[in-house]
Amino acid sequence: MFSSFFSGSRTESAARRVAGVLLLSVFAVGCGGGGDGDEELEVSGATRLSPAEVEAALAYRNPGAEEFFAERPEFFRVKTEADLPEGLVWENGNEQEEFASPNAIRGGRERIWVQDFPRTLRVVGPDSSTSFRSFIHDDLSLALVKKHPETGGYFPGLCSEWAISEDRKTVWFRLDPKAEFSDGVPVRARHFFFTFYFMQSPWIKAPWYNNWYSEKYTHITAYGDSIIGVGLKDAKPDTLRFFEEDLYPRPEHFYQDFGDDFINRYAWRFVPTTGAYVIRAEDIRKGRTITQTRLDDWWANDKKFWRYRYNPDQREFSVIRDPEKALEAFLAGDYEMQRIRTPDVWEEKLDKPPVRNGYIVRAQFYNQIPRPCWALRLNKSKPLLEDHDIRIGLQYASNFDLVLEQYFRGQYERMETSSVGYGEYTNPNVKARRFSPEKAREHFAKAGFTGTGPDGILVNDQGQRLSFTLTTGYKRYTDLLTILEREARKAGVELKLEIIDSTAAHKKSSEKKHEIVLTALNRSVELYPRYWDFFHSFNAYREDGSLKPDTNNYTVTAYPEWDELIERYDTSTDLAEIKRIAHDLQQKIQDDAAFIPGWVRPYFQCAYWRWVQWPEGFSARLAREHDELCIHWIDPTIKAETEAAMKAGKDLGETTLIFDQHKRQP
Amino acid sequence: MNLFRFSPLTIKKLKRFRAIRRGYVSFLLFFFLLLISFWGVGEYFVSSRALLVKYEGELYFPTHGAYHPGTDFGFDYEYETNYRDLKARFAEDPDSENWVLLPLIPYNPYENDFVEGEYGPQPPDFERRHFLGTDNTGRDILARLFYGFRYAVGFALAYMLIVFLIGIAIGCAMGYFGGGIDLFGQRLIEVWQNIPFLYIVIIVASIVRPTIGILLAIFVVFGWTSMTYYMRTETLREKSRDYVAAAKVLGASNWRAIYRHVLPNTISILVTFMPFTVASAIASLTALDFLGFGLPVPTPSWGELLQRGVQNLNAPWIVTSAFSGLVVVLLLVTFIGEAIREAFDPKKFTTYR
Repeated sequence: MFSSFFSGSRTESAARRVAGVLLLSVFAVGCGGGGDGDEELEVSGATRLSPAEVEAALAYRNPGAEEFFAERPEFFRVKTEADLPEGLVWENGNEQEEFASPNAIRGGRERIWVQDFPRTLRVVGPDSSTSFRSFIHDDLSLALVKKHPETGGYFPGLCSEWAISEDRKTVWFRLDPKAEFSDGVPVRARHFFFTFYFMQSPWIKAPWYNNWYSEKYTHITAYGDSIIGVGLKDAKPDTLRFFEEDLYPRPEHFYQDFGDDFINRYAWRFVPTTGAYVIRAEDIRKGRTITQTRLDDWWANDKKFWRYRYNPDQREFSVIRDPEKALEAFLAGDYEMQRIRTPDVWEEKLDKPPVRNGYIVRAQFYNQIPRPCWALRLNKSKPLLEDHDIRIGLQYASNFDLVLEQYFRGQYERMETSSVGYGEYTNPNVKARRFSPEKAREHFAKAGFTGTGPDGILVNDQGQRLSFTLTTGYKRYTDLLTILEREARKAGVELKLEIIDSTAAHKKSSEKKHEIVLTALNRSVELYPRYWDFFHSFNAYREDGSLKPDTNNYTVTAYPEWDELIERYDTSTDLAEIKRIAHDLQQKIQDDAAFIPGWVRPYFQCAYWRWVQWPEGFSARLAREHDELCIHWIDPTIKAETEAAMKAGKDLGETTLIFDQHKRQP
Repeated sequence: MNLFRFSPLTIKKLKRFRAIRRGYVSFLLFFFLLLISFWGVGEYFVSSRALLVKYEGELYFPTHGAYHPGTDFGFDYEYETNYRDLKARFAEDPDSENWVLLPLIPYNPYENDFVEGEYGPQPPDFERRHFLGTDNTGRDILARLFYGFRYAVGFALAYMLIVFLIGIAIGCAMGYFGGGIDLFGQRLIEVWQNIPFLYIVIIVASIVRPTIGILLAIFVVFGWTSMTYYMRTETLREKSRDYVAAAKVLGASNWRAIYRHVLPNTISILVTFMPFTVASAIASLTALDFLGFGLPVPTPSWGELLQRGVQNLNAPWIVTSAFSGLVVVLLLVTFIGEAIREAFDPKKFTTYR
């Protein structure tokens, strides 16, 4: 009978629904078990349930989950509010200032282009971790807490306040009594229990999450319906980080058909969300557009840090495969905003009438986030690269200065250490080695490369050429690599460029079959950098001494001394010690020279039609992109004004905005 | 070689070819282009190395042979001398006896000639001798076009040669021996032709760094089939002619019958197909490069240039150069092909009209 709760049809009799479901399953069996999905679109978390249905949804218990909880009484604990430990200090972060603007106007329609039509509406499992997911989940759904993009502290999401134990291993959350899913079912402690069952299930086919949820937490305790306590395996100074991107409540009542066919069955069902936008079944035109609709009576409409955000009434996503074409479509007025990735777009490709006439505004915002670490990583398990002098030589032979000057037009900065953007955890004394063919040759000579071949490439006594393959999966950086390749010749090194498919490149480097790889690993906003993934021997070699595949230790670093440091670093709760080790490791990485730091983009850029409006400071210090915080709005008056001006061919004056309040002084 | 001791008929055909002006002029032009872009020759026209350097009373010929480090000419660096800088340096001192003779286009297709303070593709600049401008990384378009032509045509000629050799061998065998070989061969080719060529190239290019050799091999592996059909038909026809039967009666071996009697009579088919095979090979290579699955970066290639041009429509000199180059070469080859077809048209000399 519960099928009707997520069916989108409020008044149908249960009997009819059951009959329908039966019919559907007969049909599915008849055609080999693979439902086409169109029928399934009806099942959606976008519609509100009646009070009776909400009651029933809250009463629903998934049998698989029940069993799972019963088997692990130590992990899943049920208590009452009276059992709460005494003397908890509750915090709510409300002393911080809001980053959205009270001037925001709700309404309007925002049109957004995406490169691929999403292959699923699921937010976990295969095909789900695409950029589209950020539109329907990452930037939208409320976690228990969220990081404040300006201060770096936390503010409440689904909870109204939190308390952290003294040993920093347990956190208690009081759930916001208003918090509810888009189908009207209130968020309860039970939903977090279900998350652990759901995320550890093999049916979601997400081993990373399976592992995360089985490794990182020690217990979850429900103190009644509206308070939970969560235990963490390791005490971390930045405890709340575990709750800003993970541990989203999962609507148990929605997953009544949860089973081994989850991947297909739930591919196109819209999951009830705690966020502001829903996708109605009729708004999905497969392969073409998807439209999100703003919930008018969203529960967090008046909640501090969440109000004045998510302003457009509708957000329409349409597919344009070619970014060049998308840029043209943006200039033609088909889309509201455009992300700008490279300086040539900012300067040349946007030098068009709508920009010159001021109908489109360009904005540049300096932010302060941990940067994706674009760098060349040298595989130390390869014959020549195990030589320290050759690695140092290669550092001097990499002309990133010219790349910055010419390719990035002097707008980007050199990455100095392996961990940029971590504030005081970044070692200010570590500086990347600048291009110097003379010094490079000096070090190559120390490694035995003293002769020169007829093509100018250095050779050693055995006639071996100083030649390396530089692999990358980033086709868009081809030009940049050709500059590096040309310049390296000046130091007598040959770099053979291997620009291949990104999946193939990733496979090659994670299996450590590369010599040099250009890549970046994206970083979430964290307090201090990670080293274990990239520089611990655990991720370099297997126990039998063979190379370990599927890890991010691309430099194949395995030094017992570093291991010790990294282990202490990871278990430490003392921020002063963490800082000291971080600085030390950055210096060591620099001395080891297997990591050639590339570049950082100290800002983000975007262009938008002038009727899109922003808060006074435009964005916040820790924002990665303009659309991440959803604090913009569409002003209908300005839109009408602009359209009139366009019709009349009036010049409104070119507008370029630079927000450098967070620019670091060199 | 017997094959090329032309019969009076063939000579007549060649004469007729010369009489077709458009085709003949195209041929001469194409041949000229081929000649100047040839390995070892092209470097005299387009190269960053100087043709001649007179330095401290000594003459240098840097075009060929090992590189000269900057220290050879009084620079303080050990990498290859920048001869344009050298020329500028010599020019500063009017009394010096030293001089440099640069090629017409003093750039190689790889080097980045950046202008301080200027970004992005630069328009044609006669003073700096960038006659067709530069691309995003300051590389000379004309130099890339020139060496791209060398690679494209070299590739196409090599492809044609190999495909013809395989096609002739297998086609002749099928047509001449018939029976099981023919039946089996035809089925094999039918199956083979159904393997999608483009997918294979894309798959290979995505996992390894494709070199010219690998690309050529893939092209050949999937390109040899069409020629076999024509050769098979032609051989089948010639085989049943009386002169072949006569030769057999006189005791000629199969080899001799094929080599001396059948093959020379199929030459018109071969010659007719040559230019079109070359044209299609150039076009396919360019198409693959355009899609990013072709020659390894940073090899100069027309497809890559075209792709770059399309991405930078605000720098029209890139796309115009690549496009015009491609059109001109394909037109030349097509004109040659047309003329050959007309000249070798058997109907011209037959009584069966």
